[in-house]
Amino acid sequence: MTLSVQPFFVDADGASSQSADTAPSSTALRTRRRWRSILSQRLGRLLPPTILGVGLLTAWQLYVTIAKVNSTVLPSPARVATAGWKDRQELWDNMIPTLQETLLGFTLSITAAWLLAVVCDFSKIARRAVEPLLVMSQTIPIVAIAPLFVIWFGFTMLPKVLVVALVTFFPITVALLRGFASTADEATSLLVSMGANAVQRFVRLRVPTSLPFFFSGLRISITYAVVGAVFGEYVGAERGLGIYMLLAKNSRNTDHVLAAVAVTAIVSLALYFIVSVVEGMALRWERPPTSQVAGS
Amino acid sequence: MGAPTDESGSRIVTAPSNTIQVQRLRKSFPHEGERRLVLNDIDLEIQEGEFVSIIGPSGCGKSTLFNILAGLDVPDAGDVLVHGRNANGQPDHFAYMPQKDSLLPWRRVLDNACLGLEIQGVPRKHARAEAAELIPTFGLSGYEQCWPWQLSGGMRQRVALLRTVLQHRNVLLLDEPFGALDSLTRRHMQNWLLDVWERYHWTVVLITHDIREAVFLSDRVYALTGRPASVHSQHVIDAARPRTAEMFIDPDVAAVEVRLLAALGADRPISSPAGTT
Repeated sequence: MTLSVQPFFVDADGASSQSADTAPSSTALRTRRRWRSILSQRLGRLLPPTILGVGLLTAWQLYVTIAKVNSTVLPSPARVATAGWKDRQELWDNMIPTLQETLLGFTLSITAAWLLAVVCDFSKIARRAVEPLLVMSQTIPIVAIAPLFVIWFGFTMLPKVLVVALVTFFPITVALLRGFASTADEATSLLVSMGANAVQRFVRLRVPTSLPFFFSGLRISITYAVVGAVFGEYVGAERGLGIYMLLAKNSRNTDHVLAAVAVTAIVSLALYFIVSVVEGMALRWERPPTSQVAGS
Repeated sequence: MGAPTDESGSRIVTAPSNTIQVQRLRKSFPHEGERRLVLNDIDLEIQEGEFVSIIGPSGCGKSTLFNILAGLDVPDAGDVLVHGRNANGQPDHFAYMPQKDSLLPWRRVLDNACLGLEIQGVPRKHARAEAAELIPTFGLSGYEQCWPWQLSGGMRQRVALLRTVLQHRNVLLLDEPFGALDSLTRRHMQNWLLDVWERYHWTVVLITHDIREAVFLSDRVYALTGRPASVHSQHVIDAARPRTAEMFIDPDVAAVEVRLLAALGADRPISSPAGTT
């Protein structure tokens, strides 16, 4: 799902037109055509997943109704929705801390990833030293470490923030390192011939080159982030979707558990969407995929 | 054709101080456990405002020579002299235009053109104003705010040349700038380049594979031998400027072309290569 903001000239002829006098005219027409095409593309893309989702929910609803499944074991989607709606204030109040932990953890993770990646990019020794530890950090079972975080830092926000950071910073760091390394040698030579020093080369060449990679990493890790926060709460918290789920499960309110799951999914999707929009704005210089050029 | 071509090429002339001199340049690279000589005592000499081409069999080490001139690499022996002063490993004298245009995709046309100025510390606003002045000359009017992917190959090449020119260096080093273009676009670009060169008289060193391109554009052509490269011969192209395709009807010009073909060993079938690797 890419939601990149389209550059202008999505028309096929825009990419290759040679004569200077045909270029920047009729901007209004282009803009209108562009928005119409984006709108139809969005709708076209949303349709299949919507149909599939509705179909699955219907099947689930029919199965539960026809087979008369005990609602403690598996409540119907309608029942989950009703339970969630009735408890909406409580769900909202528990969603806020989860969101806060997610955003704080994600910020921490992005900061750490940039610091690490920049240091590793400038120093081969640092890279050799850090890389194995980086991989090892991902082999730590979160199930084991999350309760320890609670023992060390108490029922505060910190253990959850750390869990979020731990599960998200690896993909971001790896993406950044790959991004820096993918800088074209020829472009580096060009900048050297212009007299650019290492910092100038890094800022003007390596960082922009790495941005598409960075955003890929960001999109992967944002999907882990909310789940990480929920898990952090699950092992010990005062408020949050994780503790809400735990309490609901303990009192066999399966419908409430699933309602909280749905809220988690919605929050994740919303964050993913925000990352995609930011990505589209930051990478507006990218050539749109050819399918979009041809299809407009 | 007035002056006879100088076939010796390797003699060193005491040059006036306003020229670029390359003296007995040597460079070797490690290759399978031993050092392989790539440049073998290269001598060149370029006058201010002169258009000089360097032509040689592929793989002869032209790019190595360019890297040394551009200050990206240092020679094992020999000197690059600018105004009589040693400029080995200094990138400040030559503005380098690489084979690929290397436009930065995240910069609009105008900002790509400004890159060199920005690196030199010129404020972005001034750099843009300076670039904008030359935009019409480079046939880029109306495209200043385009992203590189929106341009055709010829236009990208013109942006790259503008970026090179704007650095205000003594010499423009063009490494096969039109190599990736189709032959018609290449022709247009050559005509256009001649046209702007007539106006500005930059000092240009052009690397090319294309004999006709070298003859068409240059005042003088150096032919290099196969690896290790040394100067095989130099050829003065004594045709009137501004030039047109009609210059190739001139028997003297045709004779130079034939001599260049011979110098590169391209007048014989491939079965008897002349020192190419």
